[in-house]
Amino acid sequence: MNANGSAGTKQKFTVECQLGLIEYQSGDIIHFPEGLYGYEEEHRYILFQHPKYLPFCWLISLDQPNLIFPVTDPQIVMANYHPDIKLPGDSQMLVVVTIGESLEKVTANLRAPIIFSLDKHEARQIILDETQYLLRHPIIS
Amino acid sequence: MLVLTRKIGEKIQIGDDIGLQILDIQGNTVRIGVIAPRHIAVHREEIYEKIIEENKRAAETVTLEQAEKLMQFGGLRDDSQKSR
Repeated sequence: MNANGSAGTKQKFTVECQLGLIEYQSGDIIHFPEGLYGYEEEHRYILFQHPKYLPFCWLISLDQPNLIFPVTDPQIVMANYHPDIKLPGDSQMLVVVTIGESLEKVTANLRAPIIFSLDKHEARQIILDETQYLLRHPIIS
Repeated sequence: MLVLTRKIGEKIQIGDDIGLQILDIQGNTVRIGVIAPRHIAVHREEIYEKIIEENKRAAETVTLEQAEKLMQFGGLRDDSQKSR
């Protein structure tokens, strides 16, 4: 697939989606072995970050590029977000954001965080048993 | 649908590695213990359906226009934190 063999992670690819033409390298690909809930067939995503969108970034499906999830760090939404789960060593948690009709309607799904295993480039969405974490937690309160 | 009658403490085996045990019955509430391998996700049906619905809402609303909306939000945060 690439001419110089070992340079696999350096090779640049692009994906065209609602947010424009996004460049990525094969090392940026994150595998979701089980997909996300409701999207079990899409397994390969990239996490697109751009300073203008912070603190939000975008999980873009490479299998279906117009499938995009806005995501953010749950600590930004709720400072004391500490679900009772065992995280693998080198991991990061993000939550899916739903953009409503207005800024006041933006919510984050604290009930089903996505756990990224950074070393394995793998991620999975889990459902927490703890009911205090809301499916639609308002971001502006 | 296969219908089985079980008493408290009795189990149902599904395949080689999934087991259900009736732990307790109080009025119209049944407590069920589930034994399953780690890779099998087990959830109450209603929360599972809601997560699917919420993922669909989150993904279906993403357009450049919506992204711009979030940018305003990012801008608000930056101002408040005086990070730029």
